[in-house]
Amino acid sequence: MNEGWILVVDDDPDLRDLIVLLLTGEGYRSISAADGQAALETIAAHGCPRLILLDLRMPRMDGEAFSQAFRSCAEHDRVPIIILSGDCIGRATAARIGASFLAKPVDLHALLTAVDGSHASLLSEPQRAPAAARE
Amino acid sequence: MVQSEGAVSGGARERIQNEKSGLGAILAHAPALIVAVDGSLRVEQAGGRALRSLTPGPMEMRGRLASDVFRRRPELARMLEAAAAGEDLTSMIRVDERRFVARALPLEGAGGAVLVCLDATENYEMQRYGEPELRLLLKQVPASVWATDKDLRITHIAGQLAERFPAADVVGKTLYDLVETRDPTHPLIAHHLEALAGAPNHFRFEGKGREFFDVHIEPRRSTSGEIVGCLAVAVSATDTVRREEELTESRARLEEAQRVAHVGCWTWDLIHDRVDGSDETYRIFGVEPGTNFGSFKEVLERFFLPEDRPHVENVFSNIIRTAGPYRTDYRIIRPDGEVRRLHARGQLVSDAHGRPLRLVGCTIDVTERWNAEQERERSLSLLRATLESTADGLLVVDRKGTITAFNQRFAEMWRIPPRVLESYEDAAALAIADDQLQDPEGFRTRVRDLYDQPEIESYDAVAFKDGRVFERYSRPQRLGGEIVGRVWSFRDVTVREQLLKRVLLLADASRLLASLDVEPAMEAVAHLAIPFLGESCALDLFAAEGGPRRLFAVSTERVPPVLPVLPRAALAGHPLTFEDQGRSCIAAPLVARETLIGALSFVAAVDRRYGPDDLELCEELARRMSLAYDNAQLFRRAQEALDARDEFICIAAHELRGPATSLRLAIQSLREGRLSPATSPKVLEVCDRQVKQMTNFVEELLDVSRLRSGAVHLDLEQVDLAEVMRDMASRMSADLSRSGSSLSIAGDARLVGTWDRFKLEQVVGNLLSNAIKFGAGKPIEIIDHAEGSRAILTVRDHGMGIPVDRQAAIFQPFERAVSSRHYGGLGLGLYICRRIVDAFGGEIHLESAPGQGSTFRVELPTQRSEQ
Repeated sequence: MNEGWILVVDDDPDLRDLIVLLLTGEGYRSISAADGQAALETIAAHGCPRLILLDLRMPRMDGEAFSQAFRSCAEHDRVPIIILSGDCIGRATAARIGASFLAKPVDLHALLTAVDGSHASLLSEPQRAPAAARE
Repeated sequence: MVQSEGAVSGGARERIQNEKSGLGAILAHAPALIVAVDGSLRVEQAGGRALRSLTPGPMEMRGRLASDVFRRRPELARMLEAAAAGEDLTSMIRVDERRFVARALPLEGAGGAVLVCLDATENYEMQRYGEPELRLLLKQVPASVWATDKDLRITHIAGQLAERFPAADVVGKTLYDLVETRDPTHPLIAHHLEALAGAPNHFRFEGKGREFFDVHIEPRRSTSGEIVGCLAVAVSATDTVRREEELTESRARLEEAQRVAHVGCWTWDLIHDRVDGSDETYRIFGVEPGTNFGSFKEVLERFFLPEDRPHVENVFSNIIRTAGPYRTDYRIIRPDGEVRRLHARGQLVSDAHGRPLRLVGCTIDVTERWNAEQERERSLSLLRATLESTADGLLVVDRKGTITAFNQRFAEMWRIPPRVLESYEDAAALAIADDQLQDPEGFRTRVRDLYDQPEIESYDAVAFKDGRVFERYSRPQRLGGEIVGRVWSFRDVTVREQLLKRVLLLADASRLLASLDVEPAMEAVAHLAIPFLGESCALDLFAAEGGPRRLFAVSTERVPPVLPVLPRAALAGHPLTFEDQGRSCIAAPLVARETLIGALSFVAAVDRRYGPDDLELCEELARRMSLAYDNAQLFRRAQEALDARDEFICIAAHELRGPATSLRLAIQSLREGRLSPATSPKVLEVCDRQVKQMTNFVEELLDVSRLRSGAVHLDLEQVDLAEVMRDMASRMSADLSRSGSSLSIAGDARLVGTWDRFKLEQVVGNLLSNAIKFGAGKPIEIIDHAEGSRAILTVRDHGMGIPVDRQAAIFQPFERAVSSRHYGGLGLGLYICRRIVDAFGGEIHLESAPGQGSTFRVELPTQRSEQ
């Protein structure tokens, strides 16, 4: 995982699995978590991801709480977060926490473009882009 | 010596003696001395005012010897002695500077003599004796003396009254000539004729010009006794007549005055027991003047009311006994039945030995005055009653500052002690008022101004320290157009003012309470109410569980709030007053839609005691607060329901967008061949599940819609609860395995009841789904058993649990025990469960605590009881 990985956080197991499957198909390495708490645990175990796809409405710890906890660590400050949410207030929440936003139901190309864009912008920053993410 | 017309006979002497009122009386005043002696020369009669120096007084002379009487004038004694011997002597006597003519005549028959001494000093020069002297003598008499012959021819005339008839003109003429008539009935002629017939007589004669004379006529006899003419004396009676007339007139005036004044005079002759009265007395008693009153007893029975008689009798017997002057009042009844009121005063008259002779007195008819006094009394009484019955305090002060009238209400209102008002000094009363007023100086100034301007009418309001308010009216008191004082009228308008202020308070309260921010509004109202209801105010709210919660306690600044412990009655919803630590307290419940939601309480100032008015005001404030609080609560709940609905729509959108995202991504990936063929079956499974999930959501929404819109339709049949449990566990095995929770099914292997199978499945499914969702991956138990005619289904998880205050809400639509941000699902499951259980006639209960998991217990009757 030297080249970085994408963290997928969603309480819907089918959607979570599907996104991981798609990202894998597109050459990204990704790990999923069922809620914010699980996501923090995953980061603790695997280190900082280079992109986070984050649902908002989740049990135990929701997306906003997670992002606050995640951002509280200075080195996580520049890791992009893309909110995927069907929530009415999803876009406002995304703006508040400084994240991109994709409204559910998410278009596949929009998702891939966003992931790709975030990935590219990260690559342009040497200190933050140690290697290509594509597997 | 002068020969007399005839010696004075013994019979004449008797006549002279008998008729002292005639000549004797005249002679008594004559400027002469006349002395008659008997045969032994002892003085029988003496008279005349002359020669006092010659003799002692007549009384001293009587019975004494002439020689003794005339000791200093022995010649007079000698003359009497000679006359008694039959001589007729005349001589001149000189006494000092006066000269007298003395004549002594014998008295025939009985013997004795008469001595006449005349002061002849003035006529001394005349030196004529006999008839001229007699004429002179008679001239001095204040009367007329004349003599006639048998034909009534005037032979002699003399005396002062005859001056108008000079002897020269008259002597020789007949009386007929003088009166110019021969009518024998003419009084003068008739009386002369009567005398000629031998009858001496007396009469009063009215001359010209209202001149009156008392005339005495005697027959004149010769020595042989034959009547030879008349001798007449006329004395002027004009003065007497006038006096008599004046007396009569003044009597008449007195009578008139008595009649006009209704004053009657009366006498009760005690000796003869006879009552007499003046004319007016009779009139007063309503009887004809002159009516015989009769005895006192007769008067009593005739004129006095039976009930008054003993008193009157008593009064009069007391008067006689005490002999003092008296005055008394009594009533009489007149013969015509009219009752009169009399005032009597008088005096007892007694003889020299103190023996009562008579009661004299006067009686005044005071009926009119008495009636007037009664009327005045009635008017005064009416005025007094009116003064006292008015609710206003009244005071009348004259222009010198003296209180002339006040009523009791005034004294009460101003709390002025009777001794101050009885001093009648307005200044003293004002001083008492000073201590009670909020602005004594202002009040005094206004009062002073009014006293300085007596004609002003004015109105003012007077505020007291104790909160009372009086309206003051003042206007001048006039008597016949002149201002004599000032009338003050005070009306206690405290209650009216308080009512007005209370109305304003309630209006302000309503205005404040219109705010939806109700708690600050209620506190503001409490601040407004404190001036009316006391030192402190507290509002306690009663939650469904636990004790009262004090929302606020406010107080006047100088006294810290005294917070009463609410008594049971207030907690039970009744307004009341009570004592707490010696302070009067008041509490009224806040009741909204028949539910007690709180209590408003006040604590009074130390010396105040709450009354019914205060209770009413407190209750009204509480009522308005209740309404406002309830309205705010309703609004809040409506708002919350709206928020919940909005939230639900968001959630529903979110929950539908989740599967939609999966489906869209799956379809796009499959279409574009972005996934390896190996993963296709898995992706299709995802699609299948997501479609089911969406279908379930839609079903759930439709269920809620149906359940909310009316009665739940049941397709009843025999259903085995244990079988449904197993079936649903099987159907949800995938969800279970994903959640990480294990499921144990226990209880009766078969528990059959009459239920709607599909709906029973919904109940079990929702409870299981709920347990899986919130079970935190911990074991879940589902148990069924029968309790009598009821089937008991228990679903227990060991997850996060539900706080007590949220437990009721979770059975409501669009409610969830936890934030909707955290969990998927529409949150309608438990609502659907409850509605179905209700429709089955059962109950659903929750036992839970945070961190302790949740246990849902459903009780269902196994047999449908037809209602």
